[in-house]
Amino acid sequence: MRSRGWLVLSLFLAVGLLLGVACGDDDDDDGEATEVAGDDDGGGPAEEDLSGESVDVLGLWGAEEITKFEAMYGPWTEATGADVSFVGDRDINTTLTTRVEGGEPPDMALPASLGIFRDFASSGDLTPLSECLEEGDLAAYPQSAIDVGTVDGELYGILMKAGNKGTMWYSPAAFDAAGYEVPTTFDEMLALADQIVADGGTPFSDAEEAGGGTGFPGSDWIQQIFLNMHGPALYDRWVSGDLPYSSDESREAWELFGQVLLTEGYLVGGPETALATPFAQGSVPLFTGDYPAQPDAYMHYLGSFNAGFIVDPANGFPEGLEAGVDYDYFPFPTIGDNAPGVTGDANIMMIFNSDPKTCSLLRWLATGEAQQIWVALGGFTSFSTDVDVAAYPTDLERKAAEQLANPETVFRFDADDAMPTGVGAAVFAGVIAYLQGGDLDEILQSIEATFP
Amino acid sequence: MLWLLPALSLVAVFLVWPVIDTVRRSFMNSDSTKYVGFDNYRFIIDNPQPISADTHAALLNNLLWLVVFTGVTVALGLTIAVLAGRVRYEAFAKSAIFIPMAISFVAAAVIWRFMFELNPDQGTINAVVTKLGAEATPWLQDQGGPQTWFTNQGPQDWPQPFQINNFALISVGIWMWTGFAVVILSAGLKGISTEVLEAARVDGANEWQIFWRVIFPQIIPTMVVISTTLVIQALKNFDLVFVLTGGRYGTDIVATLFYKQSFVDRNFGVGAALAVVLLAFVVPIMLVSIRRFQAQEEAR
Repeated sequence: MRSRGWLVLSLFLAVGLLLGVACGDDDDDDGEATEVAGDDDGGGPAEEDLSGESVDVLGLWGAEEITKFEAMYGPWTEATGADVSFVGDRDINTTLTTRVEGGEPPDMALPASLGIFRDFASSGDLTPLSECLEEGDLAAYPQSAIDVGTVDGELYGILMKAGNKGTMWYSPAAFDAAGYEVPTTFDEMLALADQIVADGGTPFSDAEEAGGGTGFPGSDWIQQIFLNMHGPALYDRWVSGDLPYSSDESREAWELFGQVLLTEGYLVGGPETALATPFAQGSVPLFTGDYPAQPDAYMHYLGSFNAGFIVDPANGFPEGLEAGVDYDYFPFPTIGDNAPGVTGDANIMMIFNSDPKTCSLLRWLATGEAQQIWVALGGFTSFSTDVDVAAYPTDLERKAAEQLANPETVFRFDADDAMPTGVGAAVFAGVIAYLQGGDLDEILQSIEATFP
Repeated sequence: MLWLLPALSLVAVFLVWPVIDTVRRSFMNSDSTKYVGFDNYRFIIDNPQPISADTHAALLNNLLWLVVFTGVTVALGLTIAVLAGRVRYEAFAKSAIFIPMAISFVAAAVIWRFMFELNPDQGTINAVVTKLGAEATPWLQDQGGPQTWFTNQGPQDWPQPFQINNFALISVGIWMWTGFAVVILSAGLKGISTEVLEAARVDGANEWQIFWRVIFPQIIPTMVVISTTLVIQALKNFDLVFVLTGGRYGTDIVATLFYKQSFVDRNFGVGAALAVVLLAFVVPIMLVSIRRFQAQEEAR
């Protein structure tokens, strides 16, 4: 008993220390944040007394993302005295399903899958946000984001922390050294690839290993190609299953994807290496070999979150790489006369009850003020127009945010996330099978069969 | 009878009721709202989603696990038990081999993920392989036949389930369970009376003959016990495959596929049907082993 008492005490102390540190950080951030967004609603979170309460939040963040999330809810814990118990789980869809099935849902969840969100919304497991929010609370959100969070006419989710997946990574230094031009159309990109091969180099790098999500970069390739190739109207029908997955349009997108990754000499290490390489290391060949004169590869397609990997030497990148000089991205090349498309994902904030503590945290996290805290720390693209573009810490992130906000751009939610549950996993498996030389007809038929 | 009640009610709540509910769900649709007859079992037989939910491969892989994992573990365990019984550092040798048994499956799988890593700077096995002058192999991803180990080329399309990655996974299972087989078999060997062995030696039998004619017949009952345990282990195996490959690259077994169907794809009907199929495989083996146990008790 005695030792347990000590354990509890030291736990309390540790939590207290952590909170102290987190709050200490917030004070600094608050200074900046209120400076930029001060004139909007710089009031901070509403003062409510919720001390002793704890909101159980399930998300998929880990490592430094958790620290940034802590900074984001820090002012709220200060104002209310309540705490957040955050569990970060990359396999959140499985965990969440298990917990909801078992009757023990968290108070709030932040998955990135539209499919699971819609499932829970239509099954009645989610609490409508109208029970927590008032008119005008979400005025800063674009209609498209509100539409995504609406199921059967009722708002169940708020999109935050968007990921831009219309990003083709390259090294300006390597391109300059070889005299290559940044391609704007897909044909130009393939011509450049042939040029690179002729010069004795390898044009593309790819990495697909992501645990349960292995194959998702390939799925991103295909959805991005589909959107640029066939436009948003057909994309929506493709995602909903109205246009069969085994259709010719779908097939064309897969074949173009195959042309990039399966053409002999185009892909560094070949498809087998791509499948076994962790996705965070996909851009490594851009900086290895004789860099910048002739690196192992020149182009790598992955979402905007790749910027976070490149600056981390733990992923095998050389130290001291500079944004804009060593690494940068160009918008995913256009196909035909279609407008440039951007696919992307977002965390969908959803709640399982309307307890005062849950509602209070939801209201705070939905504000531009709260989101700007994480925006300033890097790695967060907000949908809220209350967030000042100047708050983004790097040019790359600002570029991604502006690309999303550009009225010319056609934005669509990640296809594998927006498709019905089960289809996304089948697409990932299809990408793996295709890269291993599987028969495309069989793959497309198999994916088509997973649509309900 | 009254004293049995607590135990029986626990079994009823945690075993009998879930089994009945699983069987019921296996005849219902994906979210268990409508009865669909044998559709889910037809799914397992027809295999309409061979890329993402390859039921045929899962069954074949389970069969491969059953045969290779059980066979090799018992054979290896017997060899080591016999050899270790003849050296002075027997205790040390046996504990070294038994240690993996003490590691949890997930921890072992995580360790072996690093071992099998493609990048020779991180993967121990590929570091050795490349030092020896061969090319690194993506052990967990490679679906080629085993002959590609040596040639790195040739026909990749060996019939399922004879893929490199399946053997890589099974070898981890063998690594974990050999110690168990060694310890039990070693105890069995110790139980053979030395008088019989000496009598055989006096009669002029060589060691080889002693092993096959005298020792082997006497430890067959021990080997059957171990095999039963291992067969059940092979059938209900989940952790190793789930952590190492997640069932990707054609390595799914029934247990991982049923989990993924139920909790990832939220297709509870097919998931439950797979669980029932697995149960149908395990029950006869359990019955046989219970019969044996009863027969042994009676013989006493």
